[in-house]
Amino acid sequence: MRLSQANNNKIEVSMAPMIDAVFLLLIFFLVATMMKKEDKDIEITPPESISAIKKPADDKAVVVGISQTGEFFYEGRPASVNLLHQELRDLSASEPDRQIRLDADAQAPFNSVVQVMDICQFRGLQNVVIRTYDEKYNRK
Amino acid sequence: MVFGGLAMIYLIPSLRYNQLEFSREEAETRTQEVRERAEAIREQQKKERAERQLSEAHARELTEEIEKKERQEITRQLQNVREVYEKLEAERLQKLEHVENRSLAERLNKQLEPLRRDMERTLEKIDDLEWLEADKDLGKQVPEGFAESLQKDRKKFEELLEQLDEGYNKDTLDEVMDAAKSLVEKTSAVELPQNKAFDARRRQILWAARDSLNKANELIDAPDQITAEQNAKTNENAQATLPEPIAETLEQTDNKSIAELHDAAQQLEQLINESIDGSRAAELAMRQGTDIESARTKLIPSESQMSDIPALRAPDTPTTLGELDQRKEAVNEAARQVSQLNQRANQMAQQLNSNQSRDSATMSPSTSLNQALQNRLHKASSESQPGEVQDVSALMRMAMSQSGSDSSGPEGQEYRNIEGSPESANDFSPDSKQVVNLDGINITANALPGRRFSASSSRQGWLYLDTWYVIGPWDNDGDLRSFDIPLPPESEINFDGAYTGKVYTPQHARQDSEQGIIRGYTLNEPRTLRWNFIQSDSIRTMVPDEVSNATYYLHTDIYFEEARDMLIAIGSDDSAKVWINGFPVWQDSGQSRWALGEHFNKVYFKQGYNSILVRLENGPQRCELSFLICPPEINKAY
Repeated sequence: MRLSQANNNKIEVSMAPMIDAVFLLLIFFLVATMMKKEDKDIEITPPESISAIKKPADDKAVVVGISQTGEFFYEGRPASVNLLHQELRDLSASEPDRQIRLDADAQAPFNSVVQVMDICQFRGLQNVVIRTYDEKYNRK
Repeated sequence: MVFGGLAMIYLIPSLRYNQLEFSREEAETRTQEVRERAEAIREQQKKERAERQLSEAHARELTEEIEKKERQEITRQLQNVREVYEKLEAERLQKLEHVENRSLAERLNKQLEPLRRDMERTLEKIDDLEWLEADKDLGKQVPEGFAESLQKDRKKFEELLEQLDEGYNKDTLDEVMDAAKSLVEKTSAVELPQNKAFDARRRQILWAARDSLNKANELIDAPDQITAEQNAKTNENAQATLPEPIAETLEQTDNKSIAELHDAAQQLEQLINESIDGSRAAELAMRQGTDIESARTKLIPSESQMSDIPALRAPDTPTTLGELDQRKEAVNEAARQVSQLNQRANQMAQQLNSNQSRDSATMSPSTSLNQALQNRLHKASSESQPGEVQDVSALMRMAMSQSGSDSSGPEGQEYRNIEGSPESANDFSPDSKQVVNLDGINITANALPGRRFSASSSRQGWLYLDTWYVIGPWDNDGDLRSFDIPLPPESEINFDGAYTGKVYTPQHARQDSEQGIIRGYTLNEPRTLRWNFIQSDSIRTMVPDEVSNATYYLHTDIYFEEARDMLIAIGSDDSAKVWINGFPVWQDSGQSRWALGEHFNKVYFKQGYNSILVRLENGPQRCELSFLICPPEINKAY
């Protein structure tokens, strides 16, 4: 009589090393792709607004700052008027649709705000947003 | 129970509502309190951080790290500045040489005048000598072919003199001198015949010829002396390279501190300013036909835009975080100033190049066209009838094509192929005379502000320029024709620049006080002038800080989707001069009230950005400008 030779030892794939490997890969990609975000903000008190449209933060937005005394900042760094013109001119040539966030202090000279908006408009940079302080939004 | 439940349902929202009301009333106060508290905490944290001690090794390491990063950037910028300086200096030396050559040419002409007269007489004598040679008897006394040889020399001499008349050239002058000497030597070598038959008159002629040539020979020495002086000067100037200490600092930046690099940058800035001032003085001297020194006195010298940073000079390593922060700020400030210097130097170099085309004093290829433009605008200011359009579009098109500033597609290419000579440029006449009658009321009511132009724009008709950068006042001493003396904005448009302007008198202070304006100027001291951004709410643009007898500049850019001709209408109170892309297109002089249609021009704008610079001269009172623009074909509807 021929005996059945059924193999009762089941072959199993151990999950533990795979999970280890996946975790390692995950950590590797996290570390490899993690970029230190540049601090583009300057210390200002933005003007208050109750009608501003809430927009999701755009990390790629170019930040133009205006301090209380009317000094300009570009991407968090102090910028002269010449430099501001040059940067916005270059931006209009390379990425005219890129968002520009205007961080102006509530007490900043209005003339300076108009100046920045005029440069943007003249250079064809249409995607300009203004950062404001929304009491209602900040209370939530 | 039911009643109680209903009461609860009513009361609970009411209580909540009251709470909301309460919080709304208090919200602003509480927010303010929170902000103040947050600010105080921030200040406290800052203070604590600033006082935190650092170990010496750590502090040194951090300082070195901060400086290392910026040192590389500052070094790179300084190398660029150095290159620009060398270009500017070469430009200045070239212009200086041009002015000195012209001055030398004038002196030489004075010296050469008697020489020429003597030489003319001598040359007449040579004719007689030729006749003498032709004589059967007397001719034997003269070497064979001598007269013919003299005639050849004479012809060469005359040709060289003609060349010298067309324009001074040192090589030509040397050749003239050599030719004159050769003639003198050859003529002196003639042995006078000892023949009684020799006509006494001929003898006299030959002696006279020899005397004249001897005199001429003496005179030849004088120009030689002047040339030697000039050569010495040119050599002296040519050696004016970068001073050794600065050159050394720039070559070995690795072991230099940021303070030393900043010092080198300041010295470079001074050298650049001197170079720019020298160039401007040379340009003015060429324009006005004066010498360099007197031109220099008329110009306002360039001013340093860099400042000392005392924190950079702190010799010790920071001991606290606060000191480290100060050092970091100082290093950043130094890097910022050097970066600005680099930008400014580049801009000045560009401006200087475009200035070669801005005025007719230089040797650029478009000089002749500029001269034609200048002639046209002088003619326009003196002869044009009211409403008459001065058409300078063709000249501008040619000038821009030649200077390479217009790269706008096929249209620009078309004109780049024109071979314009000075004569043809001067003879360039407008296509046809056009007269514009502006309906002032209609235009004032309908004109819109605008600086970007496209064919598809829904806005048609006259547009006015409302956005300007303005700087002034400089003193013009009431002279409303003094456009010849250029002020800094004609050399560079530097929005960050600070310049010395007109003195702030008690009268100006009183006027400001009456209008409630606080300017921050010091009484009886010159104002510090900076570019101001202004947007006018009407066609007329008024200058800020308006004072009598003063000069202002207005600058703006406008954009064209396609290159095209446009009509411009300029009105100014009082006189003004206008440059478009560096080319002078209009100028008037003297006092005049503002009028919407004071002057009309048909001008050419290239594709892309076009710069406009206006120099406004103010007389006794009111200083304003209007600059309108309209496509020529649209204007016909008005």
